[in-house]
Amino acid sequence: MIYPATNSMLYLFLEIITASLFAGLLLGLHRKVIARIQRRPGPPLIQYMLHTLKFFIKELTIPDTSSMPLYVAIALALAGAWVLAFLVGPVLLGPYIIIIMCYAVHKVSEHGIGLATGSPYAKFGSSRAVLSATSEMPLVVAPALVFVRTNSLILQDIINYQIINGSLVNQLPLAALATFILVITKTPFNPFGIVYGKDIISGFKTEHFGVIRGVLMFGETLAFFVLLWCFLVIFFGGVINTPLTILLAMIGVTFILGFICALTPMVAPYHSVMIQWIFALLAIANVLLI
Amino acid sequence: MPYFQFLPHIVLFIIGSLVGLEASYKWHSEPFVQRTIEPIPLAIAIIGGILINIYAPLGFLFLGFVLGMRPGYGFYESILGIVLALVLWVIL
Repeated sequence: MIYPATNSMLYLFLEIITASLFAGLLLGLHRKVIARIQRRPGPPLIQYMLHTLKFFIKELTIPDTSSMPLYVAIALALAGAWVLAFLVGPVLLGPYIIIIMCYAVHKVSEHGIGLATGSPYAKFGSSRAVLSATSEMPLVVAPALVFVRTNSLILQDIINYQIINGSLVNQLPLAALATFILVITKTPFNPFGIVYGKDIISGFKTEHFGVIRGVLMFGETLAFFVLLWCFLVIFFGGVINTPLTILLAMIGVTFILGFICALTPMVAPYHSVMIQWIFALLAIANVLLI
Repeated sequence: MPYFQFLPHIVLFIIGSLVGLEASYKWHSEPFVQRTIEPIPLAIAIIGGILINIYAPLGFLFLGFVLGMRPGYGFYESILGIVLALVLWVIL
């Protein structure tokens, strides 16, 4: 196979297309696993992807109550942040800290998307986004511990360290667990998904239709890919460090996530925050093991 | 990391799934699921299981067909195809 230059636009574009299609299939598999555990046939594997594509050809309606420029721009910001995170992380193996910053932009976008609509349901969703942002401690704790071990937050350096010294999951098991909790929180139907709770319809996305909703779903697809990738490469990088092994491991982790999401009820907002904090504190306790 | 080397596999799998979904709804419009092994999907699964070891993207197209069939159909055929693919991979 002939590869385009790694810094060419064609290369980056093909990478984004591949990741979004693959993550779309993973999210379809995730729904299928949940359905089979609940003794339902479940949707086809490509359902999530079809659902996303459907929104791109639907009519775009903008609520009268919305703040128009923000309504469009903030949705694009969410998708743009994850495209950047994907390019910096899985494609170019750059600084992990930029992925964390993109995650922060994601949380701000969730809040802004809800507020921009003027809908009470969406505002509930955005309020919960702020609440859930307080529970993102594992996002900060885990990289700090990784830095203590590897003396670098460049992803290529972290992988090289693990190839020489073995996977970080053996040295930082609790940090890996905390990061896994973070991955769970970005999975559909997860027990900590208070932002998307059905008690507030569709959360901050309640008033988003048409191509804007499609863009949001595209961003969330890439987010799932990037977070899964970060978890696998940062903690299992000694073994999982080629594209094939990473993609296969992603399928395995998606199965596990499906089991978790199918068998656990959604917790209350307060408990969601507390549980994630407990895992972050456990990760900090991992310092004692170093 | 060049993930796009798997783009043909993924795209052909999706195309296979779409065709499988459409075809199975054409074959079965009844409001219940028949738990039987059908000859055409079985043949497609076997072809997919063999082809995946020769030219993987084409194998994904055929296996995608049976995996993407109407929910409740193509389950046993898919398992047979995947098992055949794994057995051939180990043998070859």
